Amino acid sequence: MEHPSGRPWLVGRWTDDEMLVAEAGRARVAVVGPSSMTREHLTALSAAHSDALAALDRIGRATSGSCHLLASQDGCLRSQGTASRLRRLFFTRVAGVTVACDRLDVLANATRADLDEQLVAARLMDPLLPHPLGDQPLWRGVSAVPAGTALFTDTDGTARTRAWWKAPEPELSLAEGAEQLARALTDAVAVRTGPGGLISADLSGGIDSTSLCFLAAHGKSRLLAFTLDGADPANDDLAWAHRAAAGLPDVEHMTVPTSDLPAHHTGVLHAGEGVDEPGPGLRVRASFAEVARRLAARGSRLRLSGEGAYQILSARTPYPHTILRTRPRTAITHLRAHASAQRWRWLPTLRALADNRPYGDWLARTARDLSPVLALDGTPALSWQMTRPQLPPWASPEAVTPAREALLRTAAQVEPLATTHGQHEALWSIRNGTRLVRHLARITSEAGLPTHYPYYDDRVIEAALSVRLDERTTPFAYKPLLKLAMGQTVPAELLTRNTKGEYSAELHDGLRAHRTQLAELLDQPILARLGLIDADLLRRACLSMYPPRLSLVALEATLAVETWLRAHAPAPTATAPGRTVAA
Amino acid sequence: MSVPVVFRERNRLPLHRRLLPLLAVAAAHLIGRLSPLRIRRILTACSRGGRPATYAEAARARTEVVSVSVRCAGQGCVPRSIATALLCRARGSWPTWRTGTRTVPMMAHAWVEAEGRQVEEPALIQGTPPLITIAPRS
Repeated sequence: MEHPSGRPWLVGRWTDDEMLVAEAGRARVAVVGPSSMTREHLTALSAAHSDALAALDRIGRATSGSCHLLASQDGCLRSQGTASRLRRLFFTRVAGVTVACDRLDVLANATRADLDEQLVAARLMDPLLPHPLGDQPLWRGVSAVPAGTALFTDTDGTARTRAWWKAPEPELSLAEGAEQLARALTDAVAVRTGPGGLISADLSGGIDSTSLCFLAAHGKSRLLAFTLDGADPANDDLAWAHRAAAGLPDVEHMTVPTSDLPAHHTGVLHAGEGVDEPGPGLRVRASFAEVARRLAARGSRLRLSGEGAYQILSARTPYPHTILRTRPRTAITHLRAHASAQRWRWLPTLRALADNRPYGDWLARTARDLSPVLALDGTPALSWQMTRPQLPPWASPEAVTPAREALLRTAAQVEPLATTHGQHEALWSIRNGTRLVRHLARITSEAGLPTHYPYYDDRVIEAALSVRLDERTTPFAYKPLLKLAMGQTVPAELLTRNTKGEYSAELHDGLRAHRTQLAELLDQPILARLGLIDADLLRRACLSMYPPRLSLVALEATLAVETWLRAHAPAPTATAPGRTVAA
Repeated sequence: MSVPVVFRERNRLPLHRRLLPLLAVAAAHLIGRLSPLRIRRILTACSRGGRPATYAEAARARTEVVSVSVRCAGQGCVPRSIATALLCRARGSWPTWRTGTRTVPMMAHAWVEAEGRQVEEPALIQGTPPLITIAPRS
């Protein structure tokens, strides 16, 4: 796609239905990604405004779906991803020109950027990496455009960013919010079913994906529902999926046992290839790609996933800190339940409730103690972040210093994502969630079938986040907002489910099945060469007895950084002669 | 495994029916803190002379325990199961009290059984091999 000047504006590979461009006078506006926008509507909207760059504000608000928005007028540019952070933008200067891209690795390659080892050390804190460290590129010289922010480029190539999105204040009642959510979700699914043909949708049996299936079944596409049958005998997802499938009109239901797919951690040695940052969830890379291939072979053109519902539908446990100030009675009832369910100790709980420090102060203080947090240790999850940042037990003292510095440097200049603990945590968990699915969306696209995440569409997020914290979250009801929103769409019986199957058996099986590759990966880990981990401790945790009460996610984060470094770090400096390792 | 994500509905008991469940919960909290060996000894002694509890009896006891104690309604499976068994015993019966662990994924749990079934437990613990079993002796 070219500018009126004839120089290239947008470079990439898109299918026809992914890319929409409108021209109005000297301005051009492009929408990249699934959206409710039509060419006519887009042309009308851009023509109504003399300033195409400013018109993106209105176009952004009027569009359902998940897309990059780009405008060019008189040599000035505006480019933006989504507020969800699912579609991102990065920028740097290449040969004097500001270049923006949705992939970090492309820009890093173009500028031969060096790794920022301080931030690599900080990544070992994943998934408890505090805002905004998870947004920052691990390469020097490449910048990220924050979620909900647009990049403006002037004629002389200078670039600046400006926020275009603000999270809604949580002030609607459950009933008002449910109505909005129902509308937003219906639109989000309609964007995907609109073009017709065959689409697939996950039907795990949980209410998140079940809701999407029922919405999709009423759309213009035929539906292929897809269920994974978990290995754990206590996982009752399949039974619920069959009940849901029986209630769906005209739907084909495909069930695949997880044992039939590549185990978790398949291809672990190459898990970091082709992804632009260490990603949680890359252990399922092979099985996601395999599912994508199978569904594409059936003629499906995309797959809907219920991922994201957990992040947007309920605030997480810091919310009582927020509502204690406005609705103390509700807060105390909820607190008693949370405290009992998670065994919080009372004194620390009271102290956490009284803690009103701003985000930056809290962050600076967390930098003092980065030791691992163990499950059920009695610490209340009421702060800016449910659990404080932590390094795994195998992190070396040399990793603590740069991680701490990264926190302190950030703390000095950071603003929280929202003014209250409750809403900040909700937004932060959305951003952590999209970090995962951004990679999976790309991996499945490459395997022939893009995965779509309607719950992470900006309009859907806005609807969910505008509901009062204590109404969309209560320890006594399961996802009340979605249940109310889907009351007319999903049969009542299916909405009674209060449980969700989980797949940690597959995770453990995968670790066991790939011990040889993991051993090879950890034989001479790059992280150890950088001095960031104690390789022996990591090997022991990964290959024999895992530290009790430590979340397996800590191991996954380290493996993600290691595999990513393996794919992207410059080759090791030559080892001393005679020290070649016999295979 | 399937994870229960919300508190079960808790029915409020009328005041005059709360005393016995509260006593059972109080005792269970004390007993639950002891070593497994002591717990086993105490519960074995308690079980003596009780006839096997029916499912209905055990389920009722469990409901009452949960309704008077938010701890037992949450993650407190040890005090909950002990209190349930003690409450049954106070009424003349004894369910099978069990605790067990599974390693992959790691989980430890305590529960009661009657008529050969787990009492009001989610699918969560199916396949958890018991380590300690205190059954009614007839």
